[in-house]
Amino acid sequence: VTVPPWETPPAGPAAALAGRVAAVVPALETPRLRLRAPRVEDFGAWAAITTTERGAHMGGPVDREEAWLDFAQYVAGWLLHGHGLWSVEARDGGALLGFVLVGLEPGDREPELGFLLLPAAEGRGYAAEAAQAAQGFAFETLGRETLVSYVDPANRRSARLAERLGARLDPEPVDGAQVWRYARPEPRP
Amino acid sequence: VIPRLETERLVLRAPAVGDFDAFGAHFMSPRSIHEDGPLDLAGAWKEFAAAAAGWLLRGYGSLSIADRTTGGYLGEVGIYRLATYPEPEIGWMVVPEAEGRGIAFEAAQALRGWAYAAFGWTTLVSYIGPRNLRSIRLAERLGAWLDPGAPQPVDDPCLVYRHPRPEARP
Repeated sequence: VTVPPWETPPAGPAAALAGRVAAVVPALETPRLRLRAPRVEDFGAWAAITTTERGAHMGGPVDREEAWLDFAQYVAGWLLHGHGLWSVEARDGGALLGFVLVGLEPGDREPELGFLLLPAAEGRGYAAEAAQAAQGFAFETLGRETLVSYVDPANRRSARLAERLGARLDPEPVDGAQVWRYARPEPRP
Repeated sequence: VIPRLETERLVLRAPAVGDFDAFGAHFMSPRSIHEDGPLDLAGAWKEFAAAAAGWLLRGYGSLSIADRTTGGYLGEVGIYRLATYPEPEIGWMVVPEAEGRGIAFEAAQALRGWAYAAFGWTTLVSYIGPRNLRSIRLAERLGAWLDPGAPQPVDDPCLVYRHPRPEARP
């Protein structure tokens, strides 16, 4: 597979500077997963998800140029909002499994929890494990009271996952999307 | 970590979310016709945010241009690399109030000098729409020349202006 020049990782001093900027992204670990700062070389996996039907519930499928804008705008959240996109990899072996996101776009009323997995990583509970770590960051580090996931009503799989993660369905949809709401857990007595 | 550059009249600093109002107003107006605009709100946000993300992904990206005295937002200068750009591009945008004062020239010169020094680069390009006469004049003032042999962004034919090596700068 030929990697186009704009998808090759930076080298030398540019790579060093990128690494220092990427240190703003908190690295989170769960029993099986590591959530870390996205890198250019992760974009192939992002595009593999969002340029196909698998990206339908994240507003896709989109073309590769649009996929880059989406990937990069979610990454930029770390610099502009203090939360954004993590790449999710296996602690055992380091394979990239997908992405999890606490995002905010113009028009959004509150930050959104999102997750995208590569096909090979589905069906093992990774999305729930990564999403729980991202929720913990939003509630404990950012001090948020709630997070939402906007879900296409046709996407039963995402709705079931949100429900399994403890989200409740808001009574009112927003722009045709279901709003699944995660609340900060009550502090233990 | 993101560089902060000062020039005679300007401060170039990391983009902040509050800069988007003015940036978005430009890209949602007909003034952005030469920069693939006008865009809708979501599209303008993606342009703004994706350029900022460059710092984290590539080690270079956009800087907001602020008035050194008042701190007011004057525009953006950046080294851009979208999914279709064969080379890193230096580009610029100024708000209407900042036009005609050499703001973009001053900002682009400072960022180009920083990039050459920080990365050891010897050239940059600017991708410019053929009817964007204002940017063509600015590229020429920066010492760049039309490079007809340079690869163009995929599916987006434009003029490629090539910037001079560091020692040859005017």
